[in-house]
Amino acid sequence: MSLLAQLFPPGVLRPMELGSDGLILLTVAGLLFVLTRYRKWGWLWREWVTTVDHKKIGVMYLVASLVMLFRGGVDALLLRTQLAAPGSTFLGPEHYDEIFTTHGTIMVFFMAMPLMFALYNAVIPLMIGARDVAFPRLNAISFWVFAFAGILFNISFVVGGSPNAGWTAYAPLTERAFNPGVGENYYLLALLISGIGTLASGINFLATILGMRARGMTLMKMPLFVWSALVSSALILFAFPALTVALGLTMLDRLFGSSFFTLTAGGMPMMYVNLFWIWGHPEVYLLVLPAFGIFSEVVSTFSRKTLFGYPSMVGSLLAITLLSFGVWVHHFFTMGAGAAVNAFFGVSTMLIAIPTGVKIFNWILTMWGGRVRMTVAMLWQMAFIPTFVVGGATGVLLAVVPGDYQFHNSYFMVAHFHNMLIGGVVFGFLSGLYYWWPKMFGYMLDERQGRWAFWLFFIGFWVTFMPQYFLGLEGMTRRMYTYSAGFGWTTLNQISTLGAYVMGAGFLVLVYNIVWSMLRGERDVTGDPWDGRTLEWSLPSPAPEYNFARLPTVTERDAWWHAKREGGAVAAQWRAREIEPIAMPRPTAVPFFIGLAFFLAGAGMVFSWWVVAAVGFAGVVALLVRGWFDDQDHEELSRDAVLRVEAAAGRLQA
Amino acid sequence: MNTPLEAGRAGRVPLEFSDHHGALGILGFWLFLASDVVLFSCLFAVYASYGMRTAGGPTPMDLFHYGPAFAETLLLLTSSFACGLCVYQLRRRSRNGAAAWLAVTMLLGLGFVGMEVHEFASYVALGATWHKSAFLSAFFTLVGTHGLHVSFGLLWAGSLLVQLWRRGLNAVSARRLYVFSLYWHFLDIIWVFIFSAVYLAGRIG
Amino acid sequence: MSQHAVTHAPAPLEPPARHGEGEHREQREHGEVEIGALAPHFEPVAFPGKQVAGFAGSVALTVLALLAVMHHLLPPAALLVTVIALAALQAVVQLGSFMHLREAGGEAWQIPVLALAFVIAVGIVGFSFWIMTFKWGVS
Repeated sequence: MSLLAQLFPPGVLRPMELGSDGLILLTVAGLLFVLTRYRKWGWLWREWVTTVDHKKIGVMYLVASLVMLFRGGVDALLLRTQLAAPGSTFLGPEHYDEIFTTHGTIMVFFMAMPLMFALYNAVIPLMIGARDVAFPRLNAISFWVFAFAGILFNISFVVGGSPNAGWTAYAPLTERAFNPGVGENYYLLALLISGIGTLASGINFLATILGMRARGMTLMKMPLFVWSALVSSALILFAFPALTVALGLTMLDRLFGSSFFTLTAGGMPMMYVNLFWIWGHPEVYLLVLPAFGIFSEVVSTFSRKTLFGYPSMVGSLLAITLLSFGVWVHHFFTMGAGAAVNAFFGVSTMLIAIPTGVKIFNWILTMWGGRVRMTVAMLWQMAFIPTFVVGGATGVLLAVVPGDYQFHNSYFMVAHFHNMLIGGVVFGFLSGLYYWWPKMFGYMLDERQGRWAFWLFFIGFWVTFMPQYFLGLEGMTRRMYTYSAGFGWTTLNQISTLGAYVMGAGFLVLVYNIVWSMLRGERDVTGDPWDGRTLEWSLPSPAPEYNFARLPTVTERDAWWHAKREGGAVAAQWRAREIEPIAMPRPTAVPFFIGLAFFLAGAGMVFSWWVVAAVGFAGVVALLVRGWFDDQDHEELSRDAVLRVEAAAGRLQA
Repeated sequence: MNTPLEAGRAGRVPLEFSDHHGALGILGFWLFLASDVVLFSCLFAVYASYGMRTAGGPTPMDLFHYGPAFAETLLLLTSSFACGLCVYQLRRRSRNGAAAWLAVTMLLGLGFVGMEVHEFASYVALGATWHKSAFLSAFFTLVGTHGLHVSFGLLWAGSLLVQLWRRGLNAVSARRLYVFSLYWHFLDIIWVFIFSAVYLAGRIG
Repeated sequence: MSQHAVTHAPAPLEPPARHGEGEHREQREHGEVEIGALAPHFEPVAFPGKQVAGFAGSVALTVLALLAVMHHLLPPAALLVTVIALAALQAVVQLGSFMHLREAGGEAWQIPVLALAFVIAVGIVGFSFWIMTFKWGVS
């Protein structure tokens, strides 16, 4: 195949794709112009590209995830537009396949995961009284590896062609015999590379939480969000290797002719499904447990009450984590594993609802008798409870194996998982975003605009997905690009599409809110706008580079809340003589270049340009070795420098 | 960053644990090893299901022989033992002792990789490539992934020898040597399962 | 809020008075351990007896498994189970004798993490085999 034909197959030359290419070029050109005109290249390099500061890395993850939320959302609107009318020709079948593939892949891997890491990076070290994560340079490597993997995935529709086998990429459809283009290669390489970054972050946060907590902060005195980050990081550690194997073996089949999931030579496509979901189920818990952790923080702060049942909250997190490794077959009950296997996993799936139920009751009981303040963060929490419970109930219906034979792969299932992912994960992360935004950026997101965004998105969500439950019961299956008028599905589809556009409007209001608040929003001058309970609120907003001028000692849960009660205004102030020089990790360009090298390696593998791939991999190794031999990776911040920063923030005692 | 040994701690805590950040690094590497356990378990799961799916091609009984498999096992096991002695020398603060045993570790490891490459080449010469059957795909991937891990370890050990020679023994190089030893021992443990579940099981029939 | 009068009790979030000067203040004191079961245990620097014993034991277990298979000492199914069990035993021997499992800067968190990893590993291999055998001969 000629190079041009390989780079520009028909799928890449559709009007929609070409139009998007134009928009991307314009946007990139605009960015380059602004950076050059305002002489920001040096600033960009020093402050962002070479940073190892967890707070800045968190901001970069956030920006990336919001951009990806936009693209994934546009994909969703395209799908819903196509389904608004029977027999629509807005999107052809191949195009539709590509869009639902990129929609799902982007939302899970390039929107939800980075948003989670954004919040972890922004807040976890602050909450445990630490100066950074355990491995700051590895943290930066994780980000850049993710970013370049995301870029690799996103350029698939520009050159080479998008993947089209769904975000789950089942064999044998992904085998080269059935999928000869490079689209699936993009999927595989981008996710394999991104997975390296994710695994490294899991290790990083596990080590951070286990080994860098402030003096006196025992495990049972940690905030619940930190607990949720701990178990979620453990889930990353144990689940992502399974994805690496599933995708890796598929890649070996596609690129090197092995016979793992082929239809001949003894391959078993079902083994791919098995491996994928061994990862896939823990993955969804890995996403939703931090959302639960956020809710615990938000509920107690805005009810002005200690979280109800802390030990049972911890216990339920641990139970969910363990159980999540024992339910994965429920994603493929219908694949023929047999009655005994299905029965076992059906029961285990129902069991996992119990610890989640415990948490729901504890959140409600926290609010009971508290003085509840309905901030936007709290609104998201209130919305989450009924939404997630409905989704959970439909999950129990799906867990009934004979029932699942009817529901599986119908719109009932589509509605269920969107219910859990949006109602649980997205609502939770948006709540956390509003809650921690002042700490990250030093200004509040406008509450009134936030309420508009909330109601649009929340109502839009219900209008989009409730009809889909009924569509599923009426027999509409997922991933179908059109339907006949005679099926009677038209009205429900139209309502669902309307809801999707309302959700889109909610997203636009959120973006407007961010920009407006950046320019005109209320500044957070105290560092503690919500009268918070945990240590991050003891710092100025945004926190100084080194976080704590003096590392705190804690004696109980909700340490900051009690410190304020006992110490008043003195609680967040230091005496000058307590300040010592602080050793901070030095900025470095190596993580950025490692990401770039992985991009090169990935692109080479995608197109089977082996020399390019080899150069990329060699680059990764060379950069790692170079970083390894660099012993001068810390610099000391002098006592005077620290005193200056603290004095400017009004934190020095007279 | 090398913190100087704190007075009174000398001898109570080994060199590689004397630096808090270094000790965290060791924990981080244990966590990575835990993830690698799960990675290999997935490859074992694939092999367990594919071990008999030979698609009319070569079977385990056809390919695997006791001699080479046992030799490879002894080479890697002795290498792991040598690595243990390397760390013992490290604890005695002997740079030359540690370097010598590290070199022995590497030589034995090199022998292992050499034998394995020869073994794979002999299968390919017989026409047993991974395209032929799911069993062969699973075999080459499981054993090959382990072999790649060992090869990477040899490169790592080489860099450590260089670092020992140029910078000597300090908290950083001690920690790196210790971490390498964890990696190397772990690879031998994985090999024990490969020897049993692939080569021995293949001869049981 | 008025300032507190000078007291001897530390203000909230303040560490207790320290004796040593000039030490870099780490997050937690070395050796400070919260969970007793995970307290680190460093091996004394004497003759590496543990290593030698571990090596000898590993060789013995390997030879035992090899001979059992070479001479068909058990029927096939039992033989396979025995060989895997011997492998697991050898893994434990090597973990204990070679790998300094109980050493750590703070708590020995690697022990529960590794234990969990092996439980999950056994689950993955076992369950996958169970799930996939039903497809035997079908695809």
